[in-house]
Amino acid sequence: MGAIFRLSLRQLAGGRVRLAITLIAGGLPVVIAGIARAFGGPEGADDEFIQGAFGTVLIPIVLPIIAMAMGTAAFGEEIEDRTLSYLTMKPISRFRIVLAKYLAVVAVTGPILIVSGVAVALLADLSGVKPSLSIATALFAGTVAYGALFTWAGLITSRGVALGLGLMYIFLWEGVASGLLVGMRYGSVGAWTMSMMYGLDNQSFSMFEDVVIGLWAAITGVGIAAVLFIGLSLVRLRRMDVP
Amino acid sequence: MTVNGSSAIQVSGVSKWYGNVVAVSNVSFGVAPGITGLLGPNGAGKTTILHMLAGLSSPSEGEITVLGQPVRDNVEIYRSIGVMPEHDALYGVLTGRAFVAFAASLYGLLDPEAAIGRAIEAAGMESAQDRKVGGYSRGMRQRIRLAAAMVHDPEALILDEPLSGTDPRQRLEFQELLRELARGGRTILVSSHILEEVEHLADTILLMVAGKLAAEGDFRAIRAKLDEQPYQVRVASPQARILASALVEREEVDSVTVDGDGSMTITTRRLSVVEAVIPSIAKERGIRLLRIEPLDDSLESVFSYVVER
Repeated sequence: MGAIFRLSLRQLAGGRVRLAITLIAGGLPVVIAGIARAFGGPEGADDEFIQGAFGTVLIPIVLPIIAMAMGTAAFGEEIEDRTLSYLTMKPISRFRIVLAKYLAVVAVTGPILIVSGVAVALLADLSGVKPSLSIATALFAGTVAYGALFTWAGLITSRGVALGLGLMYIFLWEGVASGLLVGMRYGSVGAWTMSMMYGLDNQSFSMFEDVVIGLWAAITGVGIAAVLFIGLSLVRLRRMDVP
Repeated sequence: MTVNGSSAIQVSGVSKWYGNVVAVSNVSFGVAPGITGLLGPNGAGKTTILHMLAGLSSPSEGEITVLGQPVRDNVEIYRSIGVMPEHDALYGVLTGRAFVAFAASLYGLLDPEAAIGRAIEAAGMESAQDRKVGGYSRGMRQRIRLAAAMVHDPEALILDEPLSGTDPRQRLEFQELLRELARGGRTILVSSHILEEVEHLADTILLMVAGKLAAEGDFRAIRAKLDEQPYQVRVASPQARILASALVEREEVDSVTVDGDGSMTITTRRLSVVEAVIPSIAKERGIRLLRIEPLDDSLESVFSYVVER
């Protein structure tokens, strides 16, 4: 499994356009926060600033976009360039292939988001170990859930369609539906991510109080999403005609 | 070549369809140790059959076993078989050696470095093994893919159009390598849409046309049947008329038609002889040759002829 994981890391990090988009997307919240701070932003931690940086930009937009770019590429690129057969025609279980690909997605996506989130937190004067750990844990959890979802998406359809459907999902499900309907938050990765930040440090992220669900509900949601979509990926890889 | 329990590869009543399109229809055959050619024109269903043999897709109907085991959903079988797909895709980020090493690591070999070295040497890729595969020629890509397919010393090799893109010297080396492997008792199934390629490689052939098995057995017997129908060869030369007048005197040539664009179409029942004669006549008379190509349409018509019989 290690060989597939390492190769997948190289593939995901080696796509220059994808990596550039990912780094730009990851750097965007930091740049926006930096500009806001430089041009008369708040001194000391400010609820509105944190809400905007995390609740409007990083968690609902940047997190799913980066996870989508990496997740759909994990299998999607191998299907497009027809190298997937080099993996499936080896004495390795399909589960190990899916797991290696998925872990590579998480390993590439997670650090970019965590660095971005912690940098924004520092610009928002949220210094200290507790808020940084909360941000890192929550963004990692969001990556775990989105990574599984988009890895599966890259297996079931062409990458172009997966990206299109992914954008619609991010806008309609994660943005509109879970923003308008409270019950939908139990099925929203963004809400789980914010809930984990709040649940792990409710003092620093008190501004999310009205939009979060319970910490355990969020952890359960992330776990179910990861297991469900890894399982669906496994079923798909077993049944599909490999090009 | 009959369907029986001793065949290393056994295909029984296999069909494959995609929606309303039938790609392979009720095909049965067995492949014994040695080299077997899977021959047929483009679109005959060769790649579909090989995909199913490699476990990449499942038959819509029928059964496939390799070395006595089902292939689909049986990952352990890949310890005993090596597959080289038709497409020449490779991981562009890897060197040739790293590509073979990657395959070796997935097979979990006891002495991977020795196996990698042997496979690369056998494929004749020592000098280019440390270059990125992205910069390889088509022939080099084929050879490094063959090295990866046989790095674990498999009992059976399934090779889809392995000679495609190789130059004549590489083709000879390839053929010699496959013969050497076959002499060691391995079962090798090689597909091609070019009759001449298989002629020099395989003793037995499976001939597929339009998704069906049209003929199987000894190559020479089938070849004799094929030879009853003429082939067409197109030759391009600035001195096409002079060459045509020389060729028409040869008894191997049935007819020659000079086209208006500086090329001519030769009809013959002895393709290999004519293909050897053309360059020697051209050399004798100082005629410049631009291209010699068997017409694929002609091959397809020959295959169809066998089916009709």
